[in-house]
Amino acid sequence: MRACLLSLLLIAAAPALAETHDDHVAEAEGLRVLHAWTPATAKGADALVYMEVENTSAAEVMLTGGEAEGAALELVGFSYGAAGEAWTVLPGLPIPARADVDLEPKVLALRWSSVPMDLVPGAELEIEVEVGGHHLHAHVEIGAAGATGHSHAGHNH
Amino acid sequence: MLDLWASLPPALQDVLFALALIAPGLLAGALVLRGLRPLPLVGAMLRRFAFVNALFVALIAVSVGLGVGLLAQERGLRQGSARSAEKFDLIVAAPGSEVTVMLAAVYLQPSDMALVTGAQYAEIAAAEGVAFAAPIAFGDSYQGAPVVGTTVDFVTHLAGPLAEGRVFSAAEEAVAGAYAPVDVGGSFTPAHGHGPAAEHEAHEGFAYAVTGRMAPTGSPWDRALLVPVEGVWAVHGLANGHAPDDPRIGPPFVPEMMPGTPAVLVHATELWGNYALKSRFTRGDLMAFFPGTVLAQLHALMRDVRSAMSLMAVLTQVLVTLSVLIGLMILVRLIARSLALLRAIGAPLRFVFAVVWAYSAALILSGATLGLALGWGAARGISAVITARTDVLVTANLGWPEAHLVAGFISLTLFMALLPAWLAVRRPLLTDLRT
Repeated sequence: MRACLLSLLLIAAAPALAETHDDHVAEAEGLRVLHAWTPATAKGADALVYMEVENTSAAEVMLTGGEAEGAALELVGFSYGAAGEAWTVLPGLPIPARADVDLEPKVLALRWSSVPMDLVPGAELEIEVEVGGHHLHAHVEIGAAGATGHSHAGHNH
Repeated sequence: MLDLWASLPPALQDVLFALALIAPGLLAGALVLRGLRPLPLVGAMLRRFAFVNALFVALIAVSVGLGVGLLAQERGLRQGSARSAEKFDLIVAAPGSEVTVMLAAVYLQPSDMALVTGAQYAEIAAAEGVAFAAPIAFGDSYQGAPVVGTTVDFVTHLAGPLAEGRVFSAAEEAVAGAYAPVDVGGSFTPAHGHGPAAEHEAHEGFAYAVTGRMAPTGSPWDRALLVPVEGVWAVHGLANGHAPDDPRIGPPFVPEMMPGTPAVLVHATELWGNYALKSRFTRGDLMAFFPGTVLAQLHALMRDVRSAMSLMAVLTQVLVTLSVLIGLMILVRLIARSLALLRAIGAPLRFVFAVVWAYSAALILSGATLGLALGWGAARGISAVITARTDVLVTANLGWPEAHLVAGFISLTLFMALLPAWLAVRRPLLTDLRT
C-alpha cells in the first residue's frame, strides 16, 4: 500500500519536476542556454545576467546580446585594474562549433542597464538570448545579492 | 530621489556626501556660536593649558592618523596589485590553482607547476585572434632577482619602448627590469632556483649579457631579468625550441623541440578575443584565466576585512575622543572658578556654554587636521616599505574615503563636545565661586 502511494506521488510529481528541470534550459537548432541567473538587483541599478551557452551545431555562431522586458541586454566583458572594476560592451562573441561559453561573474555577462523594477531573490525573469541569429527564450533565476552561481550549476541537463 | 543621486557624477557624490557628514557638526557649532564672540577667551584657555591641550590634540591626531593611514594604505595596496596585473590579459597554464599561477606569472612568486607542452603552445599561438602568445618560464635567479625566459613581444608589451639599450636578439642576451641588479653592458650567471637554497654553481660557464633596460612598470617585473626563453631551456640542457641549426630566437617554436613552459601570456588582437580565447582554452588539459578576475575575487573577499578595519578605525577615534572629552570635563572642573566668575560679572549662560564648546571644538579640529597629515605621512612611509619588500609599487594618497571618515568623525565629536559644555553651565555658581 505504502509503495503504491509512493509510486502515485512520484508519478504526480513527475511533470512538475520536469518543468522545473526544463526551466533551466532553452534550446534551438543545436544551441542551448542553461542555468541563466542573476543576483538580486535594486530598481535603477544594472543587472548582470550569467548563463552557459552551448553550441552543439556544426557551425560557429555569434552571441550578441539579448532582450528583457523590451530592453536590450548588452554583452559585456569584465576588466580589473588600478582604476577598479569595469565592464566593457563587446560587439559579440564567437562560439565555435561544438563548444560552449560560460557567462560568469567577473568574466562575461549580459547587462540589463537600469532595471525598471526590483529583482528579488527567488523570483524569475524571462529573457531572450540572441545567439546565432536565434532568439532563445530563457528563464533567469534571481539569486541572492551576493550569489556567485546558479542554484543548479554543475548539474547535467 | 535615488535616480537623481545615481545620475550625479561620482566626484560630486563624494563632495555632497562629505558635506552631509560634516554638516550636523557645523550646524551645531553655528547655533552654539551664533551672535557670540568666545574666541579670544578660547585662545587664552588654549595658551594657559598649552601642554595639556597639546596632549589632547596629539591623542586625537594619532587616532585619526591611524584610521586614515590604514584606509589609504589598504586602497594603495589594492590599486598597486591591480596595476601590476593590468598587462596580463589572459594566462594559459596547465590545470591547477589559478591563484598559484597568477602569483608565479604576474607577481614572480615561483612555485612548482606542470608545464604547457610544445604542442599545446603551438595550438595557442596559432589560434585565431591571438596577437602573440609569450612563454613565461621562471625558476632561475640572480642576486635575488628572478630570471624569466620569454619573448621580445612580451618585453615590449610589458614596458613599452626600452628606457635604455636594445632588446635581446640572441639566447645569451638579456633585458634588465628598471631596478634589476645588473646594468646595461654587464653580464650575469643565473643561479638555479631562488632564495637561500638557490644553486649558484648550477649554470657555471653560462652568462647573459644585458643589452637593455626596461622603463619602470610598478610591478615585481622591475626587479626581474628577462631573457630569451631559448636561453632558459639551453642553460638547463634542454632543446631550445628550434631545429639544431636554427639560430633564431622567438616564436614560432618547433613543438617537438619545445621543452614546455609553466605559463603563457596570451594577448588577443581584439578585446573580445580574450574572452573567446579564455573559453577555448578552458578545458581538461589546459587552464585559461584572467588574472584581473582572480585578483578582483581576492579583493572582494577582503572587502569584509576592509569594512571591519573602517569600523575599528571609527571606534578607535570615538573612544579616544570620549577619553579626551572626559579629560575636558575634568579640566572644566579645574577652571570652574574662572567660568563662575565669568557668569558672576554678567556673562550669559549661553556664552559660557559657547566658550567651553568652542574650546573642545578647537582641540578636535586641530587634532583631526594634524591626524590627516599624520595619516598621509604614515601611509607614504608604509607604502615605501611594502614597495621595497614586494616590488609592487604602492602609492597611498589621501582620497574621498579618508575625507568622509574625518568629516564623520568631526561631526560626531563636535556633537559629543556639547556634553562638557552643558555640564559646565550646570555647575552651582556659588559653590564654584567659593572654591
